[in-house]
Amino acid sequence: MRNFFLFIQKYSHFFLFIILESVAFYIIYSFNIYHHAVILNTSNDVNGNIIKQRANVSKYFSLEYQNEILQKENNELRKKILESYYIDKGDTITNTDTSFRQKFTYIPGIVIQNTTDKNDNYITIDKGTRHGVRKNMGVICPEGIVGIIVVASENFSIAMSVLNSKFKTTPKLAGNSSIGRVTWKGGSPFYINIEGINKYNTIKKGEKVKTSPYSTIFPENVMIGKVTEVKSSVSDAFFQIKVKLSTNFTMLRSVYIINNLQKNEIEELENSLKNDD
Amino acid sequence: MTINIIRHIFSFLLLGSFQVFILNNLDISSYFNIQIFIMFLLLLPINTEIWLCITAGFISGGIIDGLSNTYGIHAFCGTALGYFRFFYIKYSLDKEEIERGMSPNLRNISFVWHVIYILICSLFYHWLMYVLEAFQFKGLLLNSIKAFTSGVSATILIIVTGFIFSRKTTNV
Repeated sequence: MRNFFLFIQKYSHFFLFIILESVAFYIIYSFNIYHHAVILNTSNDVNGNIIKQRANVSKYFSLEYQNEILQKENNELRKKILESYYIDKGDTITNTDTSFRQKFTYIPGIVIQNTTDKNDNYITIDKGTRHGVRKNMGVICPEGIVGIIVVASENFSIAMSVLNSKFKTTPKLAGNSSIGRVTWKGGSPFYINIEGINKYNTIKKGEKVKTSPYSTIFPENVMIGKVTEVKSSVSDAFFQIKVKLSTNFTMLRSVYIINNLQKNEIEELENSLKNDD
Repeated sequence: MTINIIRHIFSFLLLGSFQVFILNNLDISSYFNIQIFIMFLLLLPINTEIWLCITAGFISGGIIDGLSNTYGIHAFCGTALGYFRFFYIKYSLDKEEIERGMSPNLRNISFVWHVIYILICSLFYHWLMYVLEAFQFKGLLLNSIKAFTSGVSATILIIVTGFIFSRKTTNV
């Protein structure tokens, strides 16, 4: 405190100078209209600029918060757009022609998750047990075969894609009986192989490959693809056939899940035969 | 001492009257806004206390302001000049010379020092006055030129006046 007073005393002339200049300046400011206006204008400009700069800086600090608000708003808006809804009616397309007995019913679904680059590819579909989807139902699309349902929850189901090492089905080649089996050994998602057709059969390039009537999973004549390559080696009794898939799995979107109404009956019958054995 | 104070007050009254009643009404040109009353400040004894210098500057400037409708400008400049003058003398004269305490007029001090002292202080005062009057950076150069012409004119006038009126004094 003593030092403070000494400081004041030492520079008293300076403080007196400042006080007198301030008084003079105040008189200039108060009594001269021109100076008054200039000072007011300048201080307004300076103030405005300072406030603007401060706002410019401070807005960066609230960016995260602003982002959060925008995200929330986006979410709210997203909930309102049509794509966020799906038809919950679970329409089942049935054949109402009375001269035929209905064998297959179709449940339309949308692919919401799909892979083609793994060894075992699976497809997630937006229909589940609530819509009648059960395990081991076939899945097709307008272009052709897609896969088989392996698990179904209440609202969703997962299908084993044709592009899966465990997928097996019997093909029917045009003009030939249904023989061999369709397999995928990885690699390109556009090609599959047919195994187990021996060399006594005649297989042509470009031949259509469809599903056989023996399957309880797929209806007959669902397109699988076209033969693109037929190989035979001396050591092997079977052809090695390469088939281009009719379904483009990389663009898969709308699918139908197939419900075979006679499946239970057929399986029960087959099981009873086994039991008899 | 009392006589000296009265003498300085008297000189201020004379200079101030001359300033207000004659110089301010001459209206020669905007390049010649001569302030001669600062002679009173400049010729205060060189050992005058700094607080007295700035107070005298403030009061004399304030009186001139009141009489010439400039409101505060001369008070501001006068205060600044009082401060400036103190340091100018402190750093340009020997301590012994300052302690003698005479008025820095023509007869007491060397002519060259006196002229430079009056010129610098006058230029300082007039420059500050013009800048404060304009109160903007625009036209700073023109105002500096005006300050120069006015300052030099004031210097000449002060030196001439000094020749006529000053006399040798050594006491405070």
